[in-house]
Amino acid sequence: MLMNFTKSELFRVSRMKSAYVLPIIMIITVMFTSLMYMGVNKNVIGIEEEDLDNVSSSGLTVDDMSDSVELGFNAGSGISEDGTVEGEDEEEDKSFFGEGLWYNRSTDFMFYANVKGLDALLLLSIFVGLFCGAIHNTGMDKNNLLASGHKNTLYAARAITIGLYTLFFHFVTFAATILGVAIFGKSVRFVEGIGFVKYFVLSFILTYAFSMVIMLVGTFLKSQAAAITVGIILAAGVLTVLISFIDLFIKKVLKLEKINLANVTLTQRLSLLNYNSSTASIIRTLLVCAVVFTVVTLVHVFINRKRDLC
Amino acid sequence: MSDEFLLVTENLSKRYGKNVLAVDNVNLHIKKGAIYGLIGRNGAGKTTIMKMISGMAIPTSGSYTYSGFNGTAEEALGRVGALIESPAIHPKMTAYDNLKIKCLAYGIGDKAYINEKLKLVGLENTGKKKAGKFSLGMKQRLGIAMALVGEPDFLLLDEPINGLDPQGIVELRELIARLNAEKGITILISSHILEELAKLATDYAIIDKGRIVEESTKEELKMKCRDKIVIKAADTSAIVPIIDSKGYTDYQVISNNTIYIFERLDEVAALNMEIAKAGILVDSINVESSDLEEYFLMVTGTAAGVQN
Repeated sequence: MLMNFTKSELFRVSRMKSAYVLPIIMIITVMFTSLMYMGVNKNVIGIEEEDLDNVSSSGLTVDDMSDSVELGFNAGSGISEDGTVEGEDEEEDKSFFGEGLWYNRSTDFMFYANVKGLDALLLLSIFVGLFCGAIHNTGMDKNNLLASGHKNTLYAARAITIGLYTLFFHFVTFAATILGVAIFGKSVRFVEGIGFVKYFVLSFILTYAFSMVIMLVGTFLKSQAAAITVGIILAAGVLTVLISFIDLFIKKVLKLEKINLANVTLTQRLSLLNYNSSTASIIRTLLVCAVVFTVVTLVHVFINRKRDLC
Repeated sequence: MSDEFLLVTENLSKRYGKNVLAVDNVNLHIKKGAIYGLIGRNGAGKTTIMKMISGMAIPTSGSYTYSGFNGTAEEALGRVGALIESPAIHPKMTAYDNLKIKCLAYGIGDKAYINEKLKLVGLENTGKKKAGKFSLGMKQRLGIAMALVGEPDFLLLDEPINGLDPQGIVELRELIARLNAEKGITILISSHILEELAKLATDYAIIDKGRIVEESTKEELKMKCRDKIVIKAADTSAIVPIIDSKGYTDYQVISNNTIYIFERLDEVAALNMEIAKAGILVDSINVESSDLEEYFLMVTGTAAGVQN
């Protein structure tokens, strides 16, 4: 029955336009990232690679780097008080396209940068919101339930379907990264070895856990719009300020120095994860995911037991 | 539970919140092969009953038992097809794709099977037209096609003729009758359009304010709806010997206060005189005739009176 339900849900996904449009948007996003950091002349940007690396290693996202690059542009095209353009007399290559800041970087580094950008989370939120929202919009569970009477089997099938789609999306990001590097970088090469596989799997698990949270919101609130909105809020880091405030409150008022909520959110774990992550950090990541999967499953089971279908 | 019945409910109740008792101790007895009509006003509790017996809603109390199904209750539900409230269809998909989703959930991937179902409900030529663009009648028929996936033994149809044009109603009625006659599917159909139900149903339950007011067969209901002399008196037991002595045989004592006589309707005045001669006072004696609609109003009116 689980297999039948999963096939049915996969077929439903295959008929969703968003299932195709969102990966295309992801590919375009990755390609633009590659163009920006590998294909736009670093002399035009006016920021040193080391500075960008510093930004990168400080745990900020590609968006943060983008801000820095923008600053670089401004700096590079700054006009001095006497009206002359700064650096005008320098003989550097100022053509727009050329070797970018990360032109020489490896494919695994670019994959890391793309994952850390959290764009995939944003797009997956939309997909999961639409996927789960359709269940409530159409009342389709009225049809499915009769096939077995097991609401939990249906939940499991949906969790598997979302997992498979998330994996597919992760591979799309990976494939787009290779393409981006091939077009705008020096050469497609992997330098992290087994570390890359580890990072790929861990970042997938984190992304999947995030998708499950969106699924839970969609199921709990029976709303497509709510699921997508919450997904975007989480992926865009809107809650960061709130979590920082709670952390501050816990530390300063409750005097609990060791508790750090920001450190156990999925988006933060995804931002902090890298090829050099310590074993402790990896274990913490896996624990956070395990807690999320358990909570999401238990709440679904509880809802299935208590709530009528329609 | 007798083998005669496909479904029996026992004091089935459903409460929403603290104040709304949608279904109150309902006992249904649905025979195998029957077309069972559930008659009631909007909001009477028909849909809630259907949701409970199809596993979609959890009863607050009471139980329901399916017979003739081997295995667990889950397997029993697998033998049920349902079209409850509006058809659960994906508006941006074709009729074929909608059916395929349901078929795959049942482990059926056969293209011919899906086309057969579409043909059965007359939707075989809809091609790539999205279900959202279908007329109401087409959507209802698609809903029925989906309910028929998995070859159910029991079909629940909740107000299936709502919003259909006259031709659509006739087509749907013929389809339901065909499914019952040819495939032996037991059907529970609810409607507040009694005229249509009367053309289909073999058994009836009248529901009002969540309670079953009356459960009867088509023959019993016909009998009740026939032209008749209705005698109302404080105590009808004294009247019965008079009726017997006057040679009436086709009569029914409905309650302590009411007797129906179905013959010699033109002799009502003479009968009244005989009863009066015996020193019995009647509250009323007159000839009544009613169709199903009038009968329903009378029965539910009484029920409301009792509750009040």
